[in-house]
Amino acid sequence: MRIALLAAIAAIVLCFLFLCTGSMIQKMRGKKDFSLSGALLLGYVVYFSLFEVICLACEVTLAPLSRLSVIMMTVGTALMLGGVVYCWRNWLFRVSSLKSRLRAHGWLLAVVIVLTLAVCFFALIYTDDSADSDFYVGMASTALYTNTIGRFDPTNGRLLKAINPRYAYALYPIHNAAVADLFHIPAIVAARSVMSVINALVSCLAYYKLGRILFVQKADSNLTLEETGRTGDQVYVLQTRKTDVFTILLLLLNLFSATIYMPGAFLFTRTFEGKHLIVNVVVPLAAAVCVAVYRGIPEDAGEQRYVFENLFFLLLAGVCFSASVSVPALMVAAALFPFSVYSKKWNMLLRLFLAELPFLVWAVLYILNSRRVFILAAYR
Amino acid sequence: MEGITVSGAGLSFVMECFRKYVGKSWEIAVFCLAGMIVSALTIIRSRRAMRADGIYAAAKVPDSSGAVYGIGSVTWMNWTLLIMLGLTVYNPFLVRKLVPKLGMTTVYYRMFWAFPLIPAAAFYLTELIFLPKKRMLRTAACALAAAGIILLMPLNPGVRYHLTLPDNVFKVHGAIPVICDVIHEDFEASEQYSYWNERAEGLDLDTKKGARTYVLSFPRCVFPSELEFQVRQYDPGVTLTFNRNMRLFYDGNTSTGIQYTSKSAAYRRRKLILDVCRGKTEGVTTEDFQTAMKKTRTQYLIVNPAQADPSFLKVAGCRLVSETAGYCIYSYGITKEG
Repeated sequence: MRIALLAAIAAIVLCFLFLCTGSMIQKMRGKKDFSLSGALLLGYVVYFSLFEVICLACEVTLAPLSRLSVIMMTVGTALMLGGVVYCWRNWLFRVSSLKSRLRAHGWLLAVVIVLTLAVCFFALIYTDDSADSDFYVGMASTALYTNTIGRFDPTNGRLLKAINPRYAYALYPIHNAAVADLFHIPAIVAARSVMSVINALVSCLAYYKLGRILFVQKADSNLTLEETGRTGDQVYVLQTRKTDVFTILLLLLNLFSATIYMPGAFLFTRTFEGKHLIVNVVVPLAAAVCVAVYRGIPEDAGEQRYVFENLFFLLLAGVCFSASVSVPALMVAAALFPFSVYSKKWNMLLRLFLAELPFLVWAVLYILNSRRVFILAAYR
Repeated sequence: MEGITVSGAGLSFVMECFRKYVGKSWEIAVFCLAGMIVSALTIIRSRRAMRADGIYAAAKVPDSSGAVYGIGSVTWMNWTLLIMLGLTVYNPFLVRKLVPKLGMTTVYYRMFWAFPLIPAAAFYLTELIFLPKKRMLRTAACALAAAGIILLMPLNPGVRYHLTLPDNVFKVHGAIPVICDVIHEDFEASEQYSYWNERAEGLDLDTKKGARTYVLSFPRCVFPSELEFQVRQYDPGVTLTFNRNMRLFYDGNTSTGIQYTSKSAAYRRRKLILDVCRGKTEGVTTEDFQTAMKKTRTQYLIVNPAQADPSFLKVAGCRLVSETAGYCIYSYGITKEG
């Protein structure tokens, strides 16, 4: 009971941390359309980018897990305090407009919420005795038990000669260990219950965010009401309802996808793995970035750079999640490189290159590490 | 992907993998492709109309209805992505050369994630649902689409086979916490534990010697298959004789792409131990078994009483520590203090 209670507190605190982080960034950017779900999503991505950098530094210097936990606790507390002080007015304003937004959704929102809760519930009850679960959850358990970062083989507990390059940079499991350390819960509960449920929720939000971008409606100032046939409110309602229907269909298609290789299998069963985060968070958000660029969203040229900033954080967080970060990085390059060249947007090409830097740096380090140009030693 | 290799499938490797990737959900791929084709044809038609009638004609074309960004840009993006991926990672000629070199044969399916098939299908389906102007028709179309997905498509295998409440808050087999407690209690009362624990004290864990000594203060065990992959998730204070790939290979799973032959002494010894745990003692001498146990430093065997041969284990020098939670726990080479 105590463990379940502490796990619930951990989940709430982490969600609040993501919300605070994202809210601060949104406010710093001076965004007009402040959104709580968008802030949570952005905060999640930025938080894991930050975690990757800090954790990698700790891993390379053979620092103990407890030191990483203290650093993350300090950073997390600062972000939460900053978020509360800096953004509470925005939250209140957003909550005050909840009624009108609920009206725009209609009954469809209830279906979206039920499906999202079903995904979270399934993530919570799912039991897994697979070898992958053994590795990823075992990595967190071993780190917590030995107070080290990635230096022992999680599958049998032996000391590694050197840290495996394939897993050396995908440090997401160590985050589960840090959460377990800070909230005094077993690592298996942090990985398979707390973070699993948060990941399931974030995946649904990522799909919803993709829907918002896919069905965004343009209020063209050159067209009159007669020409468009819609007022501003109607345009917003249409976008909202299309997004709701899209999210419902997407979750249903994932639920009724037939093989263990498809994203649905990861969304409903393997939410504790970094691969799940790649396929159900990073890929949809990367697709949203691509659609936004193709559509020229946001219209303000100054704000367009934020899309690439988000992409940078997304790929950096992707490096933290799994070595499969190459998939979204490739996808973004394949979609945006021809577009930039075709439309002769050379500035965009430079932004794309900068946004892909986390992946490129990871790829270079991975290749050099695999070819043993350098190794990450497991001991001094 | 399991069972599909570049050498076996040749140029059809990508197609074979894609078939296995979508499985019986081929409707998603067909719908997505149909949406992309219809949408692309609509865009071409609208552009021709614009060219023929001048810019004014744009207002007559449904897809460029002014107030909406339209599905055109999404379709354009989807086609660009598909063509670019088709030229690179879905290119059979390139894949045939690169995939084996990069060691990606078993994980090639992840490349299909690069094209967001399900979101694209959901997008075109949503646009189709919102084609009628009347709200009633839209609602009916939405209900029909959802019912179609639920009734016609197969439920995800993960959901189908795992929809049960877990045994405990740790979500592991109920026997694991009990067995781990017994092992720790027995091991911590042994001379081996005292010896390694004393040696580990004062040593720096950051050094090779310190870390190796520290690991030796943990009991080393072999568990039955249904428990093996859950044990270290729950209790990393237990070390295992098998590593993941070796254990998967023993159980007949070759999805890792790693093979162990009889030339591998490390695998041969471990296989012998597990064979004995499963009652396959034919042709195994107690000396061979004892050597394997010593060389692998295995200290505890957790066996299913229905499978193991207790008389062989006893003759080989194993001691029954406890019979609990439906399993027998044997120790080997553990001497009690005092």
